[in-house]
Amino acid sequence: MAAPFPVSCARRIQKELTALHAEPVPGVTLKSGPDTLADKSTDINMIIKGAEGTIYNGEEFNLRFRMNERYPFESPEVVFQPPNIPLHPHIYSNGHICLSILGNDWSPALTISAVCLSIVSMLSSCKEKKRPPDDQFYIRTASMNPKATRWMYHDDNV
Amino acid sequence: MSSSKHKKLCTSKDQLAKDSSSTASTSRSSRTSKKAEQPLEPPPATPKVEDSNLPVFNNSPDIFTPTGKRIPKLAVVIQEWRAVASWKWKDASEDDCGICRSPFSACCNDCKYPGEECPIAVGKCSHTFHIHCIQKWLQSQQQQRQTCPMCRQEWNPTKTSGAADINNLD
Repeated sequence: MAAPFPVSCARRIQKELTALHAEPVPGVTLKSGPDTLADKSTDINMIIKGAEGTIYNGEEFNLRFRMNERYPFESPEVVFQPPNIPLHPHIYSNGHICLSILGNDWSPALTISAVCLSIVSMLSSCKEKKRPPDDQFYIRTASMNPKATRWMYHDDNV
Repeated sequence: MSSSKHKKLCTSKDQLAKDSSSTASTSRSSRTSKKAEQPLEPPPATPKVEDSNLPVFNNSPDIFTPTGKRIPKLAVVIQEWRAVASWKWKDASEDDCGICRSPFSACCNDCKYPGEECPIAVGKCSHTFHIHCIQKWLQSQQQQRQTCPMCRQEWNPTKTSGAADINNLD
């Protein structure tokens, strides 16, 4: 994250944030982001609220987006931030999320709000709070960046 | 038509004067609102035509910083303008490019001028992008199947739209 963002990338992020302000995703609020996109770090932090009638009702989670200069042609790095990481079969205790659109199925037509919507729906459709079966092994071996992981997507139900 | 446009300009400027917090921009906008108090006559040079295709200045949506601060718009008053023609791409099925999010009537985020320099590409799936945007995406997925960002079907360009519809207003 040493170099400032290319103009084209910054413009697209700016447009997304403007759109997000005009049409917010239900249950998702913007917590903080860079004040100008000339900043070197572009961490965008969102707060996700567990929806009513789901097992995460009343809980709040911090989600961090980090784009690199290849965005939107490369997916953003999206992780839940401690201390509160949702107990979910596709979310590891280090905050990494196993979600195909953040990896192989990324498309430049996807946006911050589309990703937030997917994550909200992933939480809302979950019936049982538990960690992925390989959680302990994964968090010992994984890199800080979830994009360094070669994900296997094997469950379309949750 | 032209008087309503002037009304629009005044409201957005008044908002600007209200919203702007930094001293520099307040002083600038108070100067411009003084100018706006003078009644504006419709400019005589404006052609009398239906205004649906005319460009409307200063009606762009408000822009916010990620922390929710409103970015002031340019404090420019358009006193007089004369439209000669308007144009749009013939084949564009949507208004905005799904990759860069800019309208097709504007160019992609890397170009300076819309039109021939930044043409659009239409796929067999009928999804449309700026040609520069879709090229960057296809280059970035070399090893994989080349897919349309919208529908994930294989990307097959039909043709590049070189044609634009031009409405002469005179």
